[in-house]
Amino acid sequence: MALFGSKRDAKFLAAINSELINSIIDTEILFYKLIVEQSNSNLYGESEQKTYYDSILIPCIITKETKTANMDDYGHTYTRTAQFGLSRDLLENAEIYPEVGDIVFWDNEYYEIDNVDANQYFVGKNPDTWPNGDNYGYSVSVLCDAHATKQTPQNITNIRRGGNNQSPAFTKGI
Amino acid sequence: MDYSVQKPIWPGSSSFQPGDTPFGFFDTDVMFQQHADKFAKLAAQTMGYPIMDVELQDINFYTAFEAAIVEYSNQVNQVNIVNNLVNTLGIKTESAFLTDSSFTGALVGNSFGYITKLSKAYGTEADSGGTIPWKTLKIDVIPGQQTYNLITEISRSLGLVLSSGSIEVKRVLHNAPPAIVRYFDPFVGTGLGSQQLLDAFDFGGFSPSVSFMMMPINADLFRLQSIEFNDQIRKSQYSFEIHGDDIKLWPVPVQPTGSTSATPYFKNVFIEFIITEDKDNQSVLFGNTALLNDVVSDASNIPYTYQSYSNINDMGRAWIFKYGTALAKEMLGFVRGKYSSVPIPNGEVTLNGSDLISQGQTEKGELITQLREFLDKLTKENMMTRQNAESTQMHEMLSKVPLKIYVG
Repeated sequence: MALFGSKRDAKFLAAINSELINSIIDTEILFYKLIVEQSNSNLYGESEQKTYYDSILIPCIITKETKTANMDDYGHTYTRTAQFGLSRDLLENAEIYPEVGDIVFWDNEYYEIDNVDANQYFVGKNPDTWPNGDNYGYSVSVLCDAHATKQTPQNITNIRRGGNNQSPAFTKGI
Repeated sequence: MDYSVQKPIWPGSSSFQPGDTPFGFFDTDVMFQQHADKFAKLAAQTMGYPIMDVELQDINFYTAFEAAIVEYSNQVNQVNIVNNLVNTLGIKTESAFLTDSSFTGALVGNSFGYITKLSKAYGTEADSGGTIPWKTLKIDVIPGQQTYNLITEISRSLGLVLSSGSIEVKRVLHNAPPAIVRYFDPFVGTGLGSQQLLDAFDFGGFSPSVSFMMMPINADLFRLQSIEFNDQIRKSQYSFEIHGDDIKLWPVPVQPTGSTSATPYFKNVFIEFIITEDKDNQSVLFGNTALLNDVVSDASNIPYTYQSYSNINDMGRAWIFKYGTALAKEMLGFVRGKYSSVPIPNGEVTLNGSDLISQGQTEKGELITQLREFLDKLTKENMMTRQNAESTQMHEMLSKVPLKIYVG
């Protein structure tokens, strides 16, 4: 039986995290969840027209890297990566889990998530997997590595196209 | 798992119920009940709520509140004890005149009980009373024997079996017969041989009132002195020496041969003494009160209880609020300091636990110092000193007021 890192301590950490993310740092991203079923892929597994749910605001801690300029035959462009640290506790309450392919809008740039990792544990224990029960440990975060992407190809901004131009509303549990 | 349920932070309000404090010393006090929630609000807002979360709950604030009142009472009672212990030594702790078996809130008057008991100890040594009973030993003098063992004589005379060195001789009644027994009373005008006649009938110490001649008193003194001086020069002296348990008498006891013998005859010597164990016991028992059960003997059992919160004035409550807030601050510091750094998404953050502990302890120390300095001015000793200074100053001021000169 562990002496430290009990559920009481985990709640204390959750409270600190909640205050820090929501009230002190208070940076929010627009999160677009990909609708896989409506994003048809071609022969190569590529989807030219992806569909997303309506965006939701999620507070998180953002690490935005500097952009790297790229000049080639097609003109000037740039690349940029960013890391979005989300409170796992908050995501759990919102019943949402970010996945590869989801889009994040932050600071006038769109980022496509490349990798999702939940590997930051308080006192080294994940209460969901610790064999001695869920009364110890705390899974702190879900980290999303993403890269800046172009806007229009992602079918996020309202572009002129036929049919219903409205995205489906975001619901919990996706 | 939903970690947002029952989060350990101050929710912004509370509702005190009796039993919420660790000891419940003041839980039934209506004023305490009203102020407990207000204090919680005060302390939380002092520490940044609602701008910042305060990771304490209502019971933490109640605990700090109770502890602050206990500390305040403790400080006040320390001064009360300093002021009143000497007047209450030996008083039964369950005396009927105490309210709730306590001196708290009572005005304790002065008593000379302690001084009287102390003076009895002096009296014992100074032969002017005291608490130790004196015992009297009668030695039957044996002709020709000068030295007598006191322990042996006590055993023989009083039946007390004592060890060597266990008595303290207070007085030896071994003196020459008074000069008056051989005094020719100048007032008696019936002849110079009348005194011896009176002696024969054991009336030697009395002066028969017959007829008197007017003589100056110094004539009597001269006559008595001359008799005593004669005895000192021409006869063996009444004296003694004590070494260890032995007493040696002078003159050497002789067989009774009558009052005309050059060596006086004495049959008995009386010695007054105390048993040292009695004196030791009395000094410890201090008048048979200090070590009795259920009486005030020292600061640990003088019946001072915590002050009633309702009776504490606003000045005292202000101190309690400040001290309680400092306690809560220290408490919050312990909470935030349990883990040196707290993990947050993609990083960690260091909380201000050590700062809070440091600030709380500093504030507590300053408040205690401030209160002690204030209370120290209120000891009886210091109050009398101040009154004396006022009186002296007043006298000096009045002395400078011009005196009226009567102009007729």
